[in-house]
Amino acid sequence: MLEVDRIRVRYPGYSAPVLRDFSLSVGAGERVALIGPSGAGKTTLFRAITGFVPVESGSITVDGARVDAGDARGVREIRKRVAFISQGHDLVDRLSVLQNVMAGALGRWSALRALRFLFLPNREEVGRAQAALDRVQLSEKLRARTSDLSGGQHQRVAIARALVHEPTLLLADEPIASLDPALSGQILTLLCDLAAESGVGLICSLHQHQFAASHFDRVVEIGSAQPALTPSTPAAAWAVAAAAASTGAAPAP
Amino acid sequence: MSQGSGAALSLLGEFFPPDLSPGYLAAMGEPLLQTVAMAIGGMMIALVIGLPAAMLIGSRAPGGRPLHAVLTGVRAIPDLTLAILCVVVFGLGPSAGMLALSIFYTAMVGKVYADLFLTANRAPIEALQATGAGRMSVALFGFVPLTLKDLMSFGCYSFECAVRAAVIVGAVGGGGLGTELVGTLNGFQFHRAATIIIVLVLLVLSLDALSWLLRKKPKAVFWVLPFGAYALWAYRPQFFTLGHAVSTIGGMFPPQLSEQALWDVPRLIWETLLVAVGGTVIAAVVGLFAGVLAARNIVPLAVVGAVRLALAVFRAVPEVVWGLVLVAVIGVGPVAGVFALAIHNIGVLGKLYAESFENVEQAPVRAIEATGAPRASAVLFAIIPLGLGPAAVNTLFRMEWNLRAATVVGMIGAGGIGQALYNAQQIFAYKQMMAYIVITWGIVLVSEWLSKVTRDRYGWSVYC
Repeated sequence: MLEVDRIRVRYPGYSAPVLRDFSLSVGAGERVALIGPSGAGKTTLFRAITGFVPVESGSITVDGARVDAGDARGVREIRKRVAFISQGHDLVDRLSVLQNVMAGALGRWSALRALRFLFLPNREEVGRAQAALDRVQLSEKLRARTSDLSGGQHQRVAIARALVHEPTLLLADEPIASLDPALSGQILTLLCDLAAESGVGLICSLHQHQFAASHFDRVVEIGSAQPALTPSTPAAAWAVAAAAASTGAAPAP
Repeated sequence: MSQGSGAALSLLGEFFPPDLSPGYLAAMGEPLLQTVAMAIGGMMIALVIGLPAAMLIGSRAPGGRPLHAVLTGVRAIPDLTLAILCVVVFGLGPSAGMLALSIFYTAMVGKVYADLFLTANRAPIEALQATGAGRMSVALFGFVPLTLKDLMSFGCYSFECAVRAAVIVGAVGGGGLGTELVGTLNGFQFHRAATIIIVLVLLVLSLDALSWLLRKKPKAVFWVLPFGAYALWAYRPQFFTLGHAVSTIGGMFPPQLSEQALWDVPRLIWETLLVAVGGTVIAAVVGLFAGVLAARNIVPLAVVGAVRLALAVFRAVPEVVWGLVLVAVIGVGPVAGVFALAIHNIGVLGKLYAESFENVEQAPVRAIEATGAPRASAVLFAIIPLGLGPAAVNTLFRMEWNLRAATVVGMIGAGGIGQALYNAQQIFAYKQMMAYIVITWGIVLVSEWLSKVTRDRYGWSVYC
């Protein structure tokens, strides 16, 4: 369902690409852990899949549809299929938990329906939000103001929002970065169970190898040495895929 | 209200088209120059008195503390009140306006500079004192160079405020554009009043451009010195005699109110409060829509440009000037006051709201967009709710400021306690007038105290 084919991503103003000839393929219901040090391009990969950054070369397809960051309408269609839980969770503090959870449905809603929901949520919508919150064990927080929740609760609201999204692919950027080991295990189990139940592909970026091994079908290592050292190396030298590359290894020029 | 709303509307129609005949435009030159020159002259007096006063306070000389208290107290007297007093003592014309400005800005500059000196780095000062230098030389060679940048930037800022204030003091006979405007309104020459408002808007907009220039090159402010010297000479009080001044001022004391007038004071204060709240609420509601339409991250740039221009015009005309126009159109009373505050504050709040929306944190907005939501939904779910927080804070601050503004617009006939002051002045009941001046001064002190409690960290942007 997700095909990333030898993509190269470079941020404006930087000579070295963040991702170089990176390829990855994820099938329905497959759970993939993405392991790599900070700056390796994990977040950039997610942003490229969701059309927030353009790829210089190579291609990304989701369910057969190609991601083109320049095509706003096309990007919206892709985003309807891909839920992205970013590292900061990025909830809207001033809205209620109900409103933040149902924001996951905004891709399917017209702006008019969104406006109506803000002021007059109907029973079905409240029910859907409640079910999603039940799933992440935050049942009693439906009517709470989001800014009143703790950091861990924010994370679960973000997961509930992704549930309401009903994606075919779920991206989670370092979901356990700030959690203790017990809670980390719980959250990863929750994400993996959700993926397995609904046949959703899951990519989780992580730092911890032990969690990657214990929870996921497959572990993908993403580049570690500084690509800036060899900006003009041929593409093949830098292919990073599956178990082939080992972390910390410098590319052969 | 003396006229029905239909009559008011038809009167409003008489403002159009503005009188743009070359003859009248040329006639604008003198009051325009007068306004600017008054501001410069007033500021020069203010600096000549205010700076040494601040140095005295800053060097903790004996008498510094009471002087500090006096400056703080005088600064709380609205510029319009000072103008009324100066007009009574010195007669109509730019002399009165310039002196009123000089008193107000002496207090303002003196207080702010004193605070700068009091919080300046003590170590270099003590080194200077160790040489056995006298107080004033320590101040001159220590405080002034140490805080020069702040002195210059606040000086420039006060100068901009002074030009705006120079229009306002004209409203009670202090000369310049303000006085010209009152003349046209009283003569029902509304199309000429419209011309003056246009000139005023252009003056304030070019002032904004000037302030941008001054921020880059503060020394350019010295170019205005010859102007000020001219103003000081031309607008010196010519028919001033000490005996007359003493007897006029003496005639205001002791302040006095009849028993009936005294009983009416709470109602008048209540009315002033309603003008402040009413004006702010209308401005907040309209300003919210305007703010959305003026935010670059919500609507297309062409719309933003047009809405921002309209807001700039609303904002450029001070409350008092809107008050003069509305009093002429819908008659004396609090309704004119409410709308005067509302119109000016739509301009102020609309801009602040637009900035609140533009400055929201981007991450939650992107998170909403990452669901594939249409842009409008991201605006509804993230940009507007996130911007409403800072917008609410700005509205509260503006409400406090408007309590002071409501008192002031009353003084040109727009209701509340200020209007009682205005009425007393009209019938030369100076003892009564002084009583109302003391009461309005009290109200302003209370509103400043309220502002201070909530707004210490916002510094001096409160005053203009």
